[in-house]
Amino acid sequence: MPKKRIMVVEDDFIIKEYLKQLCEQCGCEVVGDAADAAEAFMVFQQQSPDVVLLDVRLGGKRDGVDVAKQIFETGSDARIVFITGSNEPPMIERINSDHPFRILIKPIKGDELREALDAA
Amino acid sequence: MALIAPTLASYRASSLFALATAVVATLTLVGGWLLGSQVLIRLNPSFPGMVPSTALALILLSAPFIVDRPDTPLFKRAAALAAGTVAGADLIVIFSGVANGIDAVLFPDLARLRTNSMAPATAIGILFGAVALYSTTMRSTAADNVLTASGTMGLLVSGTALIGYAFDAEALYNVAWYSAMAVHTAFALALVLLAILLSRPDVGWLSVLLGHGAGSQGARRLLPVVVILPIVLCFVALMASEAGYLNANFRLSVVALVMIVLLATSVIGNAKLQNAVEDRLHATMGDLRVTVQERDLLLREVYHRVKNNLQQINAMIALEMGNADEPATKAVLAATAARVNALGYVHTLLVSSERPSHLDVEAFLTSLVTNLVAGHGGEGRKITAKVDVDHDVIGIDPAISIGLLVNELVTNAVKHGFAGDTGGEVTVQLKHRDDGTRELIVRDNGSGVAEIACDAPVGTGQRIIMALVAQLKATQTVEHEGGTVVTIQIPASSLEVEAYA
Repeated sequence: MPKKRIMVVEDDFIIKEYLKQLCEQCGCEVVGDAADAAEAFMVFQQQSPDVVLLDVRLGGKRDGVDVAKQIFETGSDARIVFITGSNEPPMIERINSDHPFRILIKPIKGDELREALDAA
Repeated sequence: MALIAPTLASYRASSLFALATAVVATLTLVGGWLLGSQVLIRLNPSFPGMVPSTALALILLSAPFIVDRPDTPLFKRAAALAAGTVAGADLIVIFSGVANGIDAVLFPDLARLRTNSMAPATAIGILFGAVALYSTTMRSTAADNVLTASGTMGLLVSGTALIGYAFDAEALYNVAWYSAMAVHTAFALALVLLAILLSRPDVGWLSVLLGHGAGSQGARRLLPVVVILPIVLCFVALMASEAGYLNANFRLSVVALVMIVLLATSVIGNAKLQNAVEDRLHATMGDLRVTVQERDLLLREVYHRVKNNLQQINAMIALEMGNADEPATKAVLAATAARVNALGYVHTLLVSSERPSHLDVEAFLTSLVTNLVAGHGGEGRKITAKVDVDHDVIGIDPAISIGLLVNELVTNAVKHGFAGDTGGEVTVQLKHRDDGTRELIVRDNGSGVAEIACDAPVGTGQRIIMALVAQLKATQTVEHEGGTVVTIQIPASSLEVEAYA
C-alpha cells in the first residue's frame, strides 16, 4: 500500500515541524508544507496531496477555511483535516460549512492524528 | 460618606459660632448685669432681657468648642450637665410656682429690672442644647439620632423666636412661652446649637448637607433659597398688608401661591439634578463596561498566546522525543510534555471561559483526566477514567496547581497502578466538605502499587506533588486498599479567585 501523501499547513513553524514529524511517524509522506493561505494553495496545486492537514488560523487576511474552499473549487477529492485551537461553536460552524473530513483540536496528540490519517 | 473639606470647614464654623455665643453671653453678664448697661441686657427698652442664668448656660454650652480640645468628652459632659441643670431648675421653679424663674430665687433684687426669669422657651432650648452637647460625646447610632433631634428642636425653638422678632415682636410677646425670650438670647442660642451640630458633621442632616455627593451639592444650592425666601416673602407680605395693599386673607393667598411656586421650583430643580447625575452614571457605567470588555479581550489574548507558547514548547519536546533513542530519555521527555500539557489545558479553557479569571474546574479536570488516561494508552489497557467533581469556579493559580497534581497522580495510577492488562478504573474526585475545604481524591482499583511509598526514592513526580501540596497549604494521605487512594485536603482559601488588576 503506497504511503499517503500529506501536506501540512501551519503558520507556527515549530508546531509545523512537530506535525510533519508526527505524520512521518504515522507512516505518511510529507510532500509539502506552507505557512499562509496563498502559499498553501500554490503548494497544493504543485503537489496534489491526498490529505491536507490545515490549520484554521493562518497569518494574513485569509484563513484555513478560505484555503479549503479554494481547494474544493478545483474539484479535488483531497481530504481536509482541520486543526484549530478554538472549539467555540462559531468557529466549528464555520469549519463545518466546508465539509471537512475531520476537525482536530489543539494540542494535537499522536493517536488522534494517526486515527484521522488512517481513516482519510 | 467622604467629608474631608466640609469637615474642616464645619469644625472652624463650630468654633466661630461658639465664640460668638460666648461673647454675646459674656457681654450681657459682665457689661449688663455687673456693670449695669441696660443696652446690653435688652437691646431695645421694650424688649425682654437676657437674664444671668441664661447667659451662664450659654457660656457653658459654648465653652467646650472654644477651648481647643475637641475630643474631651468629660469637659463636654460636665458643661452639658451644668447648663441642663440651670435650665431644668428654672423650669421646675416656674412650674412648681415657687418663683418666677431661677433668677428670681438666686437674685431676688432683679425684680426691679423688670426681667426676672429665664423664659420657659429659653430653658427648653438650653435643655435641647445640653442634651445635644452630651450626645456629641457618645458614639452610637442612638446617640447620633438624639444629637440630631435635640439640636434641630433647639434650632426650631430659637428660630421661631428670631422670626417672630423679624415679623412682629409685639405679637410674639402675646404667646406665653416666648413672652420673655430676649432677641440676643434667641440669636446666641441658635448659634450655640449650630456650633454643637457642626462639631459632628458626619451625623444627621448635616452629613447630607455637607457631603460631596451630587445630592448634597443640590441641597446646598437649594437650602438658602428654601430658608431665606419664605422669610423675605412673608416679611414683604406683612409690610404690604401694613401699608394697606393687602388684607389678611389676600396676604395668605399670595404667600401660599408663592410658597407653592418656590417648592415646585425646588422639586423640579432637584429632579433635574438627579436626572443629570443619572445620565452621568449611565455614561460612566457604559465606559466602564467597554473598559472591562477590552481588558477581558486583552486577557484572553494573553491566555491565547501563553497557550500557543506552551504548544510550541510541547512541539519542541515532541521533536526531541522523535530523535531520542534511549527509552529512559523518551520517558523523561514524555513526562515533561504531559506537565506542559496540563498547564496548556488551563489556558485553553481560560480563553473560552465566561470570565477570564475564573475556571470551571469540572470541565477542566474532565478534559485533563480523559486525555491523560487516553494518552497513556488507557483504551488498549482497558483502563477507564471517571471524573466526579462538584461544580466549582477557581482561580488560575490554584487551577494550575490542581492540574499539575492531577497530572502526576493520574499518570502514577495509570503507569504503576495496574499490573498487566487486567484493566480497571481511575477515579478523580474534587468534592466540597462541610467545613469548607475541598477534597481531591485520585483512586485506582488496580492491583499494583503507585509509586508513592514514603520510603521510595524521591522522583521528580513525587517532588512536584509535595511542592504543590505545600503551595496549596494542603495535606496528603495515601492508602492502599483495593488499589491506591491519594487524598489531598485543600483549604477553601487556597482556591479563591483572586481579583486581578
